[in-house]
Amino acid sequence: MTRYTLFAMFAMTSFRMHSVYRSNTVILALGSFLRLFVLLSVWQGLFRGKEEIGGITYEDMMLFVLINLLVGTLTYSRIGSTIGDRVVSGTISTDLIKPVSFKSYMIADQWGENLFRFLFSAVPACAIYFIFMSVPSIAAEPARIALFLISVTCGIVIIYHIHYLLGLTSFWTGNAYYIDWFMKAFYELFAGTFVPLWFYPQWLLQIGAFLPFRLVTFEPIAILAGKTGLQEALGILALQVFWILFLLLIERWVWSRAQHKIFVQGG
Amino acid sequence: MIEVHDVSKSYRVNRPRREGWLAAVQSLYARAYDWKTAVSGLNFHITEGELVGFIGPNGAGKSTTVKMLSGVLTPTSGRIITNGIEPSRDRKHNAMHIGVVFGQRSQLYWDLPMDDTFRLFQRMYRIDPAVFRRNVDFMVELLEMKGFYRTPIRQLSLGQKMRANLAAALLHDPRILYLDEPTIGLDVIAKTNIRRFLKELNAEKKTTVILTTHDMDDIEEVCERLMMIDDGQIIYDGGLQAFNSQFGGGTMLEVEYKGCNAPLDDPRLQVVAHTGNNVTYQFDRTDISLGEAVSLVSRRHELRDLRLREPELEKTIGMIYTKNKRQRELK
Repeated sequence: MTRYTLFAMFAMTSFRMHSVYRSNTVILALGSFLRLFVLLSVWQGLFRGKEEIGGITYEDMMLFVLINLLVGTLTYSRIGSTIGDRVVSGTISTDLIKPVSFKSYMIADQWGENLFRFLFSAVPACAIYFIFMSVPSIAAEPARIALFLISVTCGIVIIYHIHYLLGLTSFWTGNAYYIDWFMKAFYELFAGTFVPLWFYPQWLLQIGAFLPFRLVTFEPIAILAGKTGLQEALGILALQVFWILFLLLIERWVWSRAQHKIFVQGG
Repeated sequence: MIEVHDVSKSYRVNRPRREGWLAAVQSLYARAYDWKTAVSGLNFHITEGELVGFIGPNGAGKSTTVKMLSGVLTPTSGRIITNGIEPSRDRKHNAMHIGVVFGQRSQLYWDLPMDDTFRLFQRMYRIDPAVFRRNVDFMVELLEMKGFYRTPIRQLSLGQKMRANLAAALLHDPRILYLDEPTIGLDVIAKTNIRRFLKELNAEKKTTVILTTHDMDDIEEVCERLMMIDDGQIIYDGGLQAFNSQFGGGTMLEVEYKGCNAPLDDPRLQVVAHTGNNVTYQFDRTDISLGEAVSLVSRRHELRDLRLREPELEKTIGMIYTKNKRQRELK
């Protein structure tokens, strides 16, 4: 019990830390709204005069973009580059004198930030859109919504662990610059957050199928949007659980070695 | 309380690359490494309530030692036991019983007042609310932090930040407090305050204090025991008095006689300078007390003037550093 309240405390402190700069919230919300506006305008243009493209309607796309914005703020993670920076600067030593698991501490910190972005950037942006533009209809049955929520949670766990593992590699390499670069490239390409995987060529889809990135936001949204059958949805959940277990196992192993690798730069 | 057996730490460092683009490309796939030994063959024992100061030139291995003791770094070989725990094996458990301040880094949330970090720490260290309240009051009072208790850390001065970090490290009544250069960059008043605080803390709570420093006044005013580390090895471990008599060359007594100029003949009082009526004696305080020395030199002849010069720690240590460095270079 105390472990969870401590986790919540770390997240709340991080949340408070991010809410210090009030003007940020306005800029963040505006930025999210702009992104939403541009993306939806592009898709509107592409769908002009067409009922559907490959079985996907504009209504589907609108739902995809909106949910993607909301979920995207929750799955956002800087954990990898944060660890890298802390290793490079030596700040990692102030983390390791705390009687808490380094991983939980890093993840709680990210949670606080994401919760803040969710409430003060993504939600207001969607609200503005709903008020001034249009409201998409979600015709999903409760079972789908429940499956969606579970698989989104799994997706968050997966992406945080990937980031964390990548961050740990900086214990060996001693630098951090490649972490963000690597994550951006792989995530943007294989997660289907920018262009949905529905429109990918077969060969690229097949590569992506073996990677965990599509399980983070794309597959959960596909479940909600009704593009995945309920049977398949359970399969997706099973795959997510498999990836979580697999990542946890690797993480255990890497961490046990990483502790011997730590050297603190700059004295 | 702290036992260190034959501890060494070495790590791999990239060998500096040769010049030229060919070497640059080569280094991408075949990196040459060197093993650098930070410390080797450390052996010492610290009992509860001791105030110990680590000194040594930059890169001597002081910080590495403190980081191994606090569980941040794992020793390459040897064994460390603090509070009955092996710190690197049981990092989280060990962290519950120690407090650490790294002088050049802060563990407080930058944009928030210290109060927020303190409340987080209360949960993290599972501090009883009454104990927490009492300790916060104790720190705020003794470190004079009332004026900036609710100010965000980023707006504090270096000295204020250091005090806040010190308080944060002590909220859970740690048995051992590690301080890595706690007075670095502080002004004289701030330094004095911190030293006085450490003395009081040690007297009140019997906290074992281990600090590294370059400021000899930290050692003289706070520490009872001095450990000198140079090139990864302990070259002195003992009291300050004994250190002075071993390396400092003893106390100087400059005397100006009235009329007479025949120096005293006593094996314990060495004559190091003699011009006209002025005689400079050097003596070791463990051989002869100051009182006895003064009464001896003034017994036979009348004195016009008398001056006492204690060995200067700073100078003595500077001399040892240079001597060792030269010896290493010769090898």
